[in-house]
Amino acid sequence: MGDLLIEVRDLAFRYPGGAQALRGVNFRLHRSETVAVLGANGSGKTTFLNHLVGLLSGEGSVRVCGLPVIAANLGRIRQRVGMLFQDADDQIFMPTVEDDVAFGPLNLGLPAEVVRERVEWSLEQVGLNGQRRLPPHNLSAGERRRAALAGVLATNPEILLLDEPATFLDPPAKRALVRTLGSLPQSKVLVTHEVDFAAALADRAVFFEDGAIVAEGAVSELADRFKWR
Amino acid sequence: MRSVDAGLAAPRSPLAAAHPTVKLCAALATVVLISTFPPAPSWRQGVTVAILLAVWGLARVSPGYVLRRVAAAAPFIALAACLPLVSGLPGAGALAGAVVFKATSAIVLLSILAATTPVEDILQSLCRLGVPRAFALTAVLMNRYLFVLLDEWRGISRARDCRTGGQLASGRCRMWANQAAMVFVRGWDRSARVAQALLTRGFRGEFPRLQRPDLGVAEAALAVALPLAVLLLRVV
Ligand SMILES: Nc1ncnc2c1ncn2[C@@H]1O[C@H](COP(=O)(O)OP(=O)(O)O)[C@@H](O)[C@H]1O
Ligand SMILES: [Mg+2]
Repeated sequence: MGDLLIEVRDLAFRYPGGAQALRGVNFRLHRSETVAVLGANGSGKTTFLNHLVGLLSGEGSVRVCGLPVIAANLGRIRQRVGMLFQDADDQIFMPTVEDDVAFGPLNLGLPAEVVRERVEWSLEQVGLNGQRRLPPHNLSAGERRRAALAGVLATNPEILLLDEPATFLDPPAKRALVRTLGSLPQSKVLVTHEVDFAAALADRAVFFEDGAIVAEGAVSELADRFKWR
Repeated sequence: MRSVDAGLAAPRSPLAAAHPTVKLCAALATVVLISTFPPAPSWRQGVTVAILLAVWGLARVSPGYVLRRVAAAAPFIALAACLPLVSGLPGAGALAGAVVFKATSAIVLLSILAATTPVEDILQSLCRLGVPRAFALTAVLMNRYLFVLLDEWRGISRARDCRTGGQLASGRCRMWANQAAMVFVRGWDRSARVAQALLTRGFRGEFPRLQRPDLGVAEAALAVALPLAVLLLRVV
C-alpha cells in the first residue's frame, strides 16, 4: 500500500443552528487509490469532502498529504487537492472555457507559457478542445462537467475529490467520464449514487449513513448489502 | 449549440476584428467629447452624425439592432429632455435638443461596440485600463451568473407551465414575485458555493487571464482617429 494521503480521525461536525452532519468519521486514502463514497442524500458526503479542503472544520483530526488541515496550511493543501463540485456552475466563473481552465494555474503564479501548455493538456484530457472559446452557458451539462474537471486538472493536483460527477450525464457521457477518470493517475475520492460508475473506478467503497461511515468494502458488496442499485 | 461568434450581433466586420481595448477607448473618448458639444445646433452635429453613420457602416451592424437599443432608452432620454423644457429657461429648446442628440449618439456608438465586441473582451479591457479590481471582479461574476440565474428563471417557468398548463389561477404579479423570490434564494445559496469554489481554486482577489498579444501601431492609430475627428469638430 502506498503512502497515506488523507487521514481523518473521529471527525464530527454540526452546522451552526443545524443538523449534526458528521459524527465520528474515520477515513484513509492511500496514494493511487480510488475510494467510492456511497450513501443517501443528506447523509453527509458533501460535508465530509468540504472538510478535506478546509472549507469547513469540525472536531477531530484531518490530515491531507501529511499536513493538518488548518488555516496556515490551506494554501498548500488546496494546491494538492482538486475538488469537483456537485454543481459545475458553482465552479466555472470565467467568461470562456479556456479562461476558466487557465484560472487555477494562473492563480498559482505559473508563467503564461506553462499555463498555455496546462490548458492545452487539460482540455485534451476531457475532450473539450473544440469548445475552448465558448462561454460556459453555451455548453451542455456534460460538457460543463468536463470543463470543470479540466479546470481542476490544470492545477495538477495529487488528489481528486469528485462530488457526484456523473449526475445529469447521459450514458455515453458517463462512459466517457469513466474513461477520462480511469486514465488519470491521481488518488480519488468519488462520491456517487451510481453503483456501476463506482464499480468501474473504485478500489473500495465506504457507506455513509446519517453522518457516519457504517460500512467499508468492495463496491458490489456494499451495494448488495444496502440494496443500493 | 451556438457557434463561437454567435454572441455577437455583427461578428464579421473590420470592427469586430479590431482590438477590444482600442474599440473601448475610442468609443468612450468619443462619447465624452460629444457630451462637451455646446447645445446650440450647428454643422458640428451634422458632421458627427455622418461620422457615426460611417462607423455604423464599417461595423456592418443591422439597423434593427441599434434602433431597438435606442428605442429601449428613448423613455429615459425623453424624460431628461423634458427637464429643461419644463424649467422654462431661455434656450430650453436647444438644450432639450442637445440632450436628445448626445444621448442618442452615445447609445448608437455603444450599441455598435456591443455588437462587435464580446462582453468578456470589454471586461478584460476595462481591467487593463485600470478600472478598480472590485468593479471588474463584480462585472466578471455578474456576466457569468446572470446567465445561470436566467436559466434558473426559465427552468422554474417551464416547471410551472407544465403543472398549470400555462393557465394561472391567481394573479400574474404574485406569481412573478414568488418566482423572483425563488431565484433569489437559490442565487443566495449558490453565492456561498461559488465562494467556496473560488477558495479551493486558489482565488486571491484577482481574475488573471491569458493576455492577448499587445496593440499594434495601426490599431493604436485607429483608437486615436475617431475621438480625434470629433475633437477637431469640437475645437474648430
Ligand atoms: N449549509 C448548510 N447549513 C445547514 N445544514 C446543512 C448545510 N449543508 C448541508 N446541511 C445538512 O447537513 C446534512 C448533510 O448534508 P450533505 O453533506 O450535503 O449531504 P449529502 O452530500 O450526502 O447529500 C443534511 O442534513 C443537510 O441538510
Ligand atoms: Mg452532496
